[in-house]
Amino acid sequence: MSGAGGSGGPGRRPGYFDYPEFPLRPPPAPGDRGRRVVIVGAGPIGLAAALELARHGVASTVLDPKGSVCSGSRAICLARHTLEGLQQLGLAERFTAKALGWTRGTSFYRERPVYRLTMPHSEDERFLPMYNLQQQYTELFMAEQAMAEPLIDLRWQSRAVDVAAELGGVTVAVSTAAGDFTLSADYLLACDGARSDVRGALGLSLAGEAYEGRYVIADIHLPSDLPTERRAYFDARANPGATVLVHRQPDDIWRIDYQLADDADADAALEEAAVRERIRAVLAMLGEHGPWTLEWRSLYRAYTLCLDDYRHGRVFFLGDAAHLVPIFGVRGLNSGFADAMNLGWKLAWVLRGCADPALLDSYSPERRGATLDIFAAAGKSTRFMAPPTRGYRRVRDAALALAAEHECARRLLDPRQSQPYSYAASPLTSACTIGCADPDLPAPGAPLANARLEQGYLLDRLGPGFTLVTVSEAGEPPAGTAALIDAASRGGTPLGHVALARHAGAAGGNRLRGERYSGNGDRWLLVRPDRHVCARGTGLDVGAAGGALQRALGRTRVA
Amino acid sequence: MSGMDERAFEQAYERLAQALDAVAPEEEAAFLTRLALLLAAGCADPAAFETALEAAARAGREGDQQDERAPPTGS
Repeated sequence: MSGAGGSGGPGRRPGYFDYPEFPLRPPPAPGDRGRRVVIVGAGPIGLAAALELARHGVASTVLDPKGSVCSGSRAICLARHTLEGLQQLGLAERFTAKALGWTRGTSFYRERPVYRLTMPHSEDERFLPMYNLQQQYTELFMAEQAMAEPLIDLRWQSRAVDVAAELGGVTVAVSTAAGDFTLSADYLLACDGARSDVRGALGLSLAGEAYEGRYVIADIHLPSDLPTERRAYFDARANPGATVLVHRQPDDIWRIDYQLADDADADAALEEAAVRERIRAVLAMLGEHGPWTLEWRSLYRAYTLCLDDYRHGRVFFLGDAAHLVPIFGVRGLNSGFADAMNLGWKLAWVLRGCADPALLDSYSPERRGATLDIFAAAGKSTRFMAPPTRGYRRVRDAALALAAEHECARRLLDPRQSQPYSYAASPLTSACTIGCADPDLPAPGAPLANARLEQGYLLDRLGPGFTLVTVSEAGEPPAGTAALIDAASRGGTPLGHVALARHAGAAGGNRLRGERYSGNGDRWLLVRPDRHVCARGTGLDVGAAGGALQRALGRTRVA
Repeated sequence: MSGMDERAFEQAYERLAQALDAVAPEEEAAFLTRLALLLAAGCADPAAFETALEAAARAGREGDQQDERAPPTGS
């Protein structure tokens, strides 16, 4: 028997996941309706923003019309840099205990393997390059953490029905079955997804491109011994002339994405019988003949759409509310998560009076820059996966035919998986003003690369605020370290310090054990709360480092 | 074989796709033949061109063999 059980209808909940029912809470008392931050949307991005704000001591209210987590598996790939952010939120262990990590992929042309993807990994990394986990689990883990956090007022079954943004603040009209109420806040974060009600209420719309290819996305339950890796099939028997993607998820769930023919009727293709027939063909191709159940299915089309500005006064847009990116390269959830980590610390510093509101001006250029970078990479991936024209199909098929024997063609099959964006061009980054010619150190704007230490990893040592990382032979702090930390503290920005040592004798287990940071000479890096390097140098010039910190807080504009 | 770096080769991929879209379908073969001839003229090593000819023919033959597959299950 194959394909029996579980209808997995479009939008319906899969049977393998035990959905929690989050209760509706009564409206807050009239005197308790003023908030520093209101977050609309309790998906992974809204919850990440709330948790990041709480990490910095800022309270928020989160509103969501749902009473549970999302219905389908949706975004399933979490990149290493997202796991590093989840570690900062105290969630990494829960995710890695459940998720399936992977490092490799294989692309097939007419069922012949033509490209092997191997993602960079080394002993310096705590996390694998990629993890697969259904979005229900992502939301569940984050929601449970948020509901246990006193600084987060998480309100399920509560819909934001209107938003009014004014110079002095934001008001949000909330509708619930227990009564309607209005919240006022200093800032509002719109994390309410691709069909953002907040975006609509403010009369804003996304602009960009829609791609031709349409995909059916289906989850099936299938016990299988196939390894966890990305499988991409081009012009296979199971889907002639089109592509198929296969990913393993926890709980013996497999994600099968297959492209529809250009002239296919999307509604008919999403009918249960049609989906089952195609999946049977895919499983036959994979050599899987055991029983399986259809758990969930949906239809997908690739877009590269975004807002012109992710900030509108006191309203900020994050995740799919700000940008829609193609699934190829797994950038949607990962880039939305980076939005939350970027804005979280900036908002906290402003609300705590440690930075000027001008710091918030950097959110949109930094994160919209990341979106445009994604569009460039994802556009290429999408044109390869689903060629939009005759010409693109011709060259794509030629590249596939040549890939088995020719490295130049194989490179074109690289799926360009999600990579963290560098804020090198940001006004907050002291790019190349101090010691920029050292390839052994992360460049200004780049995320701080992890490093294996005698005990644990470098990123384990980061606190919630800015961190000064120094690298020397024996771990001795460079002259001026204490003065810099003291000056920063007096300026309202406590500065953590991690002293790395290349050789034995380092206190606190901070001796480097891997390849990174192994170059000669004393080095220092100044790291933002979101793990991005904002300055670096040789020796510690207290004036320069202090100036870089001021600049990273938006207090000065260095030409 | 390609002397282009990765970025230039990606750009060549895009430009070739766009150029193919700019010619009528019935003109494609003639267009690609002209293009190959021009690239051959610019190729300093005749053996490299011969190798490319053989590789292109071999990739096509392997594709044809793959096309003799059984039809997909259930369709």
